[in-house]
Amino acid sequence: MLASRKIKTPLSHAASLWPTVAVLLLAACVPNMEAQVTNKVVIAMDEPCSSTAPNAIVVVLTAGNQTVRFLAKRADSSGVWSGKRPDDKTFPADRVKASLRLQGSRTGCERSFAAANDEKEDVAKFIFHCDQRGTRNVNITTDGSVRVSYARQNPGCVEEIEQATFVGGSHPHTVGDIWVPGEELSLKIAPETQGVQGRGLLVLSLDGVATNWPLFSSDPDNSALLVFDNGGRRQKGTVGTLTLKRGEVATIFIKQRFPKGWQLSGNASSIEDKRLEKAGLKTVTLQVQ
Amino acid sequence: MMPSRLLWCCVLSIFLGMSVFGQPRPIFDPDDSVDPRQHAQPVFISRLVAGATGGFVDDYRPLHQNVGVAELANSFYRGHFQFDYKHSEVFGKDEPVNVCMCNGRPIYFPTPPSRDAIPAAPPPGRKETVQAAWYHASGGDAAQPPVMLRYRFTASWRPINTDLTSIATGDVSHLSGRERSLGLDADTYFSVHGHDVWGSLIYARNVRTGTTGDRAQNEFAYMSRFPGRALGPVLVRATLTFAGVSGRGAPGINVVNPAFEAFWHHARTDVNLHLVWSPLAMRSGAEGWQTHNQIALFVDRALFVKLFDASRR
Repeated sequence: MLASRKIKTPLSHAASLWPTVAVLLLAACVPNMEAQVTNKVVIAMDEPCSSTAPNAIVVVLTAGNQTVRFLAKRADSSGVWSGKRPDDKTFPADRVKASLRLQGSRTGCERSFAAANDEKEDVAKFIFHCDQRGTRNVNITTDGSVRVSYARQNPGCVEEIEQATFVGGSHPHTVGDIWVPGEELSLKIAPETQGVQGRGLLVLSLDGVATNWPLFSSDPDNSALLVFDNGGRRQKGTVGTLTLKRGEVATIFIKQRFPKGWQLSGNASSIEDKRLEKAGLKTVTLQVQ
Repeated sequence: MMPSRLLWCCVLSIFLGMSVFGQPRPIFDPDDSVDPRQHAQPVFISRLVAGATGGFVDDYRPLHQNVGVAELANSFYRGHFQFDYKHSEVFGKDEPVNVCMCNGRPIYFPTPPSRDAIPAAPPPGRKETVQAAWYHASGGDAAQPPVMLRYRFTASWRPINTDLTSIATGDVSHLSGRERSLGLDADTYFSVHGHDVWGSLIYARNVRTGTTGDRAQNEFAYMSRFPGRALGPVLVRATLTFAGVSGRGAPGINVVNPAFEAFWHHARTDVNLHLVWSPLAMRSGAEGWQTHNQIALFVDRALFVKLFDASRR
């Protein structure tokens, strides 16, 4: 049987491209729809969190792999706070995430959307939900001026990790308003000499369960804090303090990296111990309150 | 695709064709796996191991005595590679060997086990081992970092010197023998119904020559590594090994070897204490299944750790 075949001429081939060409021409004629960029935020709550809303709140904004903290202030009693990134760098108004620290409580992460403020300027607007869960603070003290970076993450910010670096010393550095359980907090001590790896010393784990041997956790009802010492023994209390010697930090770090145990080797602990020794660390004190 | 497959075939053929192959880790050789993501710079570590083993079994061959053990392990880690030189010593009693020249050929007392029996372990002594390993990242996704698997080549050599006392004359003569071995082991990881299954595939061959009981054996083993559990400050972990060992008149799986290890790290002194119980069930053509219990208590400590400057790489 002879099948009828359509013979494609160069002209008919070009004709089949006309819809594509038309779309391209249309796209070229439409005004440039660039994403709005801004350095300003506007914060609103979908319901009042308490009878006395603070006049200033801390915004933790994650743009790309940078985390910036700044104050947003309330201009009037309307329940809207405004703030500006302190370094004046701009970010896409509809593509950043932020959370609020409310001194004793915090919010989860929310994604921004592009909006305009009263002055008709482009802003990144966030609407937060109230979360009545209490938070705790973690104080970190080292016995020398060792660089420490921390990363904290909550389930709402899976892809955005808040991180910061500080130089340790006898005065505690406070990582504030942390949900326990509910957030992961890990420390990298002397991060400049650390190899490429996922996370540092796990202080708090996301689920609060000791599957990865975090240093602190809490009762399921959050009534008491659990402190796990180097031996994995538990202590209970409302405030937990753990002072770890350099060798203990190294051992716990390796244990946490290999929670299944079988790859736990003495050489791995010794390498970490030596690295911390070269960084000048003797002890780390962690206090969760 | 073809060239790399051909290369693998060649490498495998070379190893399979060699006359000597390596052996599994001695019970007192502590794990020295280090994830290359942990160190940004090359590292050298010297580690000393000392302890005692009851019912020592050397490479699936019981020695039938309690021994002291020591090892000096020197490891160099650079990027995804690891190189080791290990000197180990087993301290025990040398069994006296008598010889009778009967009909022109020597007969040794005690008589070495028959060809279809489990061979005797080499007498206590020293052993030199070199190893080269490569770490390979496997799997992983946005939520889970890749697992790091190690592939390791092992070569070892030990002298076996035997004093022979003639039953007829009382004269003492000397045999200078040796055992050489080469081996490969590869970490394995897969997931079954959401459960991680870790293990190692081990192929080894060793050959003993110039002794009163010259033997050779090939070993193919799979060691399953179960998740460890923390009991207070002690980490407890277990392995289960199934092996087929040639040269004992019992083809197929003829070794079943669970092992249980309690591991305690003392952070202040950086000393690791290990207690290992390793019951073995072994089968031979002459004796059928037999069980042996091996218990080791040993400590290890890093003597010297050097982190090289990353900028000099």
